[in-house]
Amino acid sequence: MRTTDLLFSAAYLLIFIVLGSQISHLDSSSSATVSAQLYPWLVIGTGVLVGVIETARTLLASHGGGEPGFSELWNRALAPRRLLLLGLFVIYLAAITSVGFLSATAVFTFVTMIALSPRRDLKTFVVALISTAALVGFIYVLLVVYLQAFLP
Amino acid sequence: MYDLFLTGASAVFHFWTLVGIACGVAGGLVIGAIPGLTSTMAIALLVPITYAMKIEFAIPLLMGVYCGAISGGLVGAILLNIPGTPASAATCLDGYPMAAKGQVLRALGLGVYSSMIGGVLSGLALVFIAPLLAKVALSFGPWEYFSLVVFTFSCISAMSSKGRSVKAFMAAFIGLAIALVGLDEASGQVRMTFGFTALESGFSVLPALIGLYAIPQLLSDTDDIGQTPRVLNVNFKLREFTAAFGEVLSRKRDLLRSTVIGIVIGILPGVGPGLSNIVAYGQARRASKTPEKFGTGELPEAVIAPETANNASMGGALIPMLTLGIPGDASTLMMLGAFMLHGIDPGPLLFRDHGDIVWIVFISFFVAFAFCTVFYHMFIPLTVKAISVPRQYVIPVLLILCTVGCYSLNNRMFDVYCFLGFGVLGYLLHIARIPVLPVILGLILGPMAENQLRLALAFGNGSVLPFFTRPISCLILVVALASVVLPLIMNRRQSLDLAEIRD
Repeated sequence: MRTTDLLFSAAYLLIFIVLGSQISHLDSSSSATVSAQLYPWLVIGTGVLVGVIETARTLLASHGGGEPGFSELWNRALAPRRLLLLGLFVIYLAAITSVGFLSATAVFTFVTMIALSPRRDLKTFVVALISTAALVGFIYVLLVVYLQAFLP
Repeated sequence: MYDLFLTGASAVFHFWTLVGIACGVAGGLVIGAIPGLTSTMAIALLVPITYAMKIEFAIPLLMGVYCGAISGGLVGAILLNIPGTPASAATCLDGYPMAAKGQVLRALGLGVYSSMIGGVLSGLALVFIAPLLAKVALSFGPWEYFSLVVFTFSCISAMSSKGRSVKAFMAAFIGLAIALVGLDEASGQVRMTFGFTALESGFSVLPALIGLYAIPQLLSDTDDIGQTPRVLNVNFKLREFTAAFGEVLSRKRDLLRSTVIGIVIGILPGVGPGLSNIVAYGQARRASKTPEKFGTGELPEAVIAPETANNASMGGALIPMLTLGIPGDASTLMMLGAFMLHGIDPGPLLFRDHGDIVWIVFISFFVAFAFCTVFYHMFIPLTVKAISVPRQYVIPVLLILCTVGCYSLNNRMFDVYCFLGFGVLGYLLHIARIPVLPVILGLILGPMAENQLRLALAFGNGSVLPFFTRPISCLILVVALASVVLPLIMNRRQSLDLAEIRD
């Protein structure tokens, strides 16, 4: 957990320093009493300070007993089913504009249900098919008929 | 006031609105009963869809989901030993052992009736406290509002688990930094966009909210796929179920104590039913003559206390949301998003300018609890079935509904990409065990903090002294400081005591 904490603190500080570099682009020479740079500086500056405190705290702290180790934590975070779901969802979003929203939704729902199932028998296929049809029908009624939205 | 009450009542008691509340409660009960799907998730799914609805219909519908989902958590806690929502975490401790002894209906009855009583009492507190607080808040200037934002973040830090309070602050600053992106309304300058024109209007709050909550939760839920839940058998008999009502009423002291705990914790910004049920359980145990019997499933107060408190927190959490625009918990944070989506900013002016909307909230809160009670008598077996639905069918459906919700807000794919981006951010925070709630609070309260700070400095000719010379502002800041420093001192003292004992 300590390594993960340090990694997080490093990423956090890096992002805040990058954001801080953007503040100088703001024009503070307006006639307003309060400079346009004041609040961003307050947020980024205090944010960096908090990040430094946390980094120092993590470095000085003794190893926490009972907390998951680096490899255990990341093995759980990168579990195959989690990555599969995230990967399929990213592909689905990328496919929407080329394949069409309803077709992409139907394919994603069906494929994800099958892919996530621990057993792939006839019952799973039938339930996935019925669920997909019901979901697509519901979305069509909701988006097109009720909300009268344009499909992507 | 009477006119506003009548306007609110006529809106809520409209046929289709009642149908909406009933559907919201039913959906909330089902989602709340399924372990892993929280009330926040239920409201998050629905908020974007309410965009096309009239606010007089949308708010009662969301109230129905809110009440249903928090109440539904007890089913999973009692029958599965897994709380449907964090609000029912302490219910598992005695609810499940009681049900496992063959007293399923007694355990469910105790949970349902104490939930309803806690909910109704907190609703009364909401009706009486909220207008008073709104009157006080009308005298607040920008100094007090900025101090309140500081207090909100200090509360979150104080309630964080040991050693995680600085991380909660970091999360809050991530939210505040994200809120900086886009147009600075005062100076008319674009900031932190890195040249992306799509970012000039900033991030839409709702896709960020939904992404931060839903994606990490759905990804984590995939771990439960293939695990067949061991659900206790329920042979529903109405007489046996209703017998618990008398037992609940006979525990007046526990009801009252847990209700007060629930309301007070609910009012505190950023914490809600997830904490109140645990505190109420602990207090009930402390007050009991037979504390050793807690955890055995013998004592009714061990189920009554957490269930009363978690529902009592709901009314409490709505008080700061309606009167100050500061959410009491994650679910009211979503409700705040719904209000903003409909162009209404909660705060003291809400009571002056939209009194009818306030009454719609009050009345629909009670109506939702009435529906909740009725539905529990009718559909317990159905709710039990809902918790057995395999996750592989639920997860893709919820993911798609979130996507549709985000898209339908502005009919643009950018919001959907934001949903994914914030989801990945939320997942990374989840891995690093960093709470997501402060990020969202930072995102929502960031613009308010900026505007109030700017106004305060402008009114004071750039001086920060009024923050400390105005009594209420100073008091809020002192309490905020105390809520950060006191836990540190107490932890330090505990460590020293432990060291002394070891020596």
